Amino acid sequence: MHQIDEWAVTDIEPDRRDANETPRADDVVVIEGVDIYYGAVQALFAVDLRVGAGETVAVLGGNASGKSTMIKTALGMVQPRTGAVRVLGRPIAGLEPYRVIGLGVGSIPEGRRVFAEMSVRENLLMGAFVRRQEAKATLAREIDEAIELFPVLQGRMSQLAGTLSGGEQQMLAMARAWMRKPRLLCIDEPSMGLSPLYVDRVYEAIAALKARGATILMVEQSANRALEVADRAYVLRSGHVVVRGRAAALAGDPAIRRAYLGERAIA
Amino acid sequence: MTDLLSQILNGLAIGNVYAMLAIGFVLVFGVANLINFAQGSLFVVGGYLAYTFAVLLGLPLALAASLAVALTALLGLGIDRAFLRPLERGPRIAPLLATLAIAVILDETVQLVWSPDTKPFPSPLASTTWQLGNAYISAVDLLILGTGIATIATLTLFLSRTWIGRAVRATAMDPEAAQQMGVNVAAMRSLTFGIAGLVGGIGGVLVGFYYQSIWPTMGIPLGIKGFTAALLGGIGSIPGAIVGGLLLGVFEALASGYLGSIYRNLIAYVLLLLVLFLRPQGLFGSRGLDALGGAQAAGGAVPTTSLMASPFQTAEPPAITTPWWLAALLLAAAATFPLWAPDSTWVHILGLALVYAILAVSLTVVAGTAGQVSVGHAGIWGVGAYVAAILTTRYWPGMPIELTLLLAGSAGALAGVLAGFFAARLSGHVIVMATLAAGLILYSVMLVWIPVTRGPMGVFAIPPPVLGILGGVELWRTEQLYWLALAVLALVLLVASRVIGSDVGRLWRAVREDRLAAVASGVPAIRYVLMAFAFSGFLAGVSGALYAHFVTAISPGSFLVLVSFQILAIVVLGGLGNLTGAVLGAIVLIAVTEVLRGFGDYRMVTYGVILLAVIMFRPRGLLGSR
Repeated sequence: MHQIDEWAVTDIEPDRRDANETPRADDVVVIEGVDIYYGAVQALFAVDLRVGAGETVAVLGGNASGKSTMIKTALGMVQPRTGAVRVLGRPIAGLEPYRVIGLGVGSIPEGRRVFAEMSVRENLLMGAFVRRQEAKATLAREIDEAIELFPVLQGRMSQLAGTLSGGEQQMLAMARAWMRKPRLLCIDEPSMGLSPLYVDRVYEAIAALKARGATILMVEQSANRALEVADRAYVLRSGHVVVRGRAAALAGDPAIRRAYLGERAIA
Repeated sequence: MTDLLSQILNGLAIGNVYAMLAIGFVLVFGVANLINFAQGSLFVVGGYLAYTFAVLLGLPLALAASLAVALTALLGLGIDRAFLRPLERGPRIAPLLATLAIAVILDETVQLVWSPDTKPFPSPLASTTWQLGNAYISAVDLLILGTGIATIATLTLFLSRTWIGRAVRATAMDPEAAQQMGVNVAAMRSLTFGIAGLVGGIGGVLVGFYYQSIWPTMGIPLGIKGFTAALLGGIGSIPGAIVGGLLLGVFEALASGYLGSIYRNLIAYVLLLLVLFLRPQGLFGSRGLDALGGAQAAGGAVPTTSLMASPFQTAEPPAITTPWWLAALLLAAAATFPLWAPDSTWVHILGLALVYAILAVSLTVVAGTAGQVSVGHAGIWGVGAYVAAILTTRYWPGMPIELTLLLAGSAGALAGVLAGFFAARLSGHVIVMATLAAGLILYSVMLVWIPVTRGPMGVFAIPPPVLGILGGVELWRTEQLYWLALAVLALVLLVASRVIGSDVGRLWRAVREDRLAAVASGVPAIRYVLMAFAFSGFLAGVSGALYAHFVTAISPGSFLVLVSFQILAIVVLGGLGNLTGAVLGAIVLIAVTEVLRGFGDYRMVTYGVILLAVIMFRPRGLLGSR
């Protein structure tokens, strides 16, 4: 059991804190002391976060906790007023989001955001946009691989993406990001608005990507599924990191579950 | 039969040009979420540049055309960079007004540089004509057809088959998602404006070939036709734009072939309103039409929230209000002005400014308070003026001005409802197009309905107004007319401020701020929008009647789109929805006009520049909006 202070960070396993939280040279994402404002409203308060190479890190929290802002920070879509953000070893201050993507980042945006009036194939090609100099044959082969990885897309290459169901669109969004061959994959709310069947499929796919060695930063509201696949997790509340630690330890701590993760969501 | 087929072939040729304009609209609409009113003006500039290089500098026609096209593309790109992109974070209405201002500046600059006269455009080919089965087609038609098809095919291939083309489309569909694919969306936006300028330049040259001449005022009708074509096909769809352009070309060719060429433009305006009314999602728009929004909402592009709101939170400068003592002081100064004015010319000028102020109040109610930006007010104003002029010259020279104003106002209200009828179901920028077309239709009717309006001759020798309550005094002296205008303005201000402050005014603002929320709360939005148009139309009609008495001669030329634009500039300058601002804006701008009379040719350019500057630096007007 832990004493939970209002805004201070609780390390779920204090003895492991240094191992978990000390930045390393090969870290894929390092966010240090970042404050984010939307106009006059502060969304993040001096948050720290790191994603090591090969790790899957989940950011959890309720509505308006600032978790989506966290992923936007890593993508350069919002600029911190104070603090520093490094992605794949490079400070990204002042870098346009498309340049951050260019560093080797793939993104699965919240709400899927497939290009509705493009075919499935064109969507996959858009995923590979930064790799457009590469050989056509390579990309064609990788489109075939994407279909293997996401079989729901089989036989639908010329269908318009807007005519897919929500779950199918989520699969397409994942395949599209996979076409980026990212060194860091950012996933924003992958299970939002999906049927239980598709939530299962989405998490199977995330587990498959992880098994292939992907480094993943994901934001998720339904904590139990995210903690199953993640190595470590951060819990946000009103823009503060309030709990952090190994996913397994978080999932196993009843006080944490009750206080932050919403028992109902886990039960 | 021969005739019909020839007409169709001819229509397909010009339809190609419309298709190009439509593609320009569709691309810019997609990427910048904006109807670019300057698109027609880019055409004009392209045509004139080609004319200059070919005729004045004697370059070979192909080289001249290529140079013109390249320069127009740069111009399109530059306009976005310099004026539109800085406004992205401003109120939604700002970029729209900016493109209107740019259109006026470009059109007027063309007139200043190349003179308002029609110029003969060089023909690339001898006037050979071939028989094609049953039809005849000229070499020039074939050239237009060929160039058009080649341009459209190239563009289609570029957009569907290349990486950058796909990125442009992705940016149009969802810029934020495109960015997360690594697309530089700002560069795509520039590219799009460049392409729009490019097709504009090509189109301008082809229009020159088609009519074998070019003239500076062809921008607005061409712009409307391009937009009609885009809308006909379902705005947002490039294949739709092509089909829409070809259809419009054929319709128009048939109409001018069988009804007479005077109907050529009218058919496009009427078609635009019909499409907006019957099928705003266009022929190929497959998505369900939003219950409220019309074409734009069908495209999913424009939210139902206020045009005055910014997509980003920004601090709004407070609206400046007039303290009562200042108002009283101003009123006293205005009432005694004829007594201390240097001469009666100034009384006449200020009197006219008061008449414009009434028109500005009329527009600020519908555009500012109700959020329905109308650029058809010159037409409504003209209806009031014609009613007063025809009644007092032809039927009852001694008609009391009270009755004249009432009748002219009612006619204006009717015209306002007519314009509003089409606009009320629409949202965002499409309203501007609908009212523009409505205004042009009213203008065309004044021109064509000769038995009643005397056509281009107009009505002259309009007698001075007769004041009924003073036992039929003829107000023929300048200061009497001035006082009449001042009294009517005071009454109009009183009524307008009461209406704006009433429940009705609050519901108008509710519809303006968030139409969806207003409807969800049970506000019958369409009815309230129509009420706003009726009220505004009434005031415009009253102003028109006074105008007819002031100038004693009117013709369709008094009610051009430029007048609508001038009034819009006044209203924006004063702050949309701000009554004091409308009055002060009218007085300042009309006075400025008179001061600038010496260089009258620069007048409209000046208006354009003033409007653009206000939009860039104080988008809520000098006095702020409410």
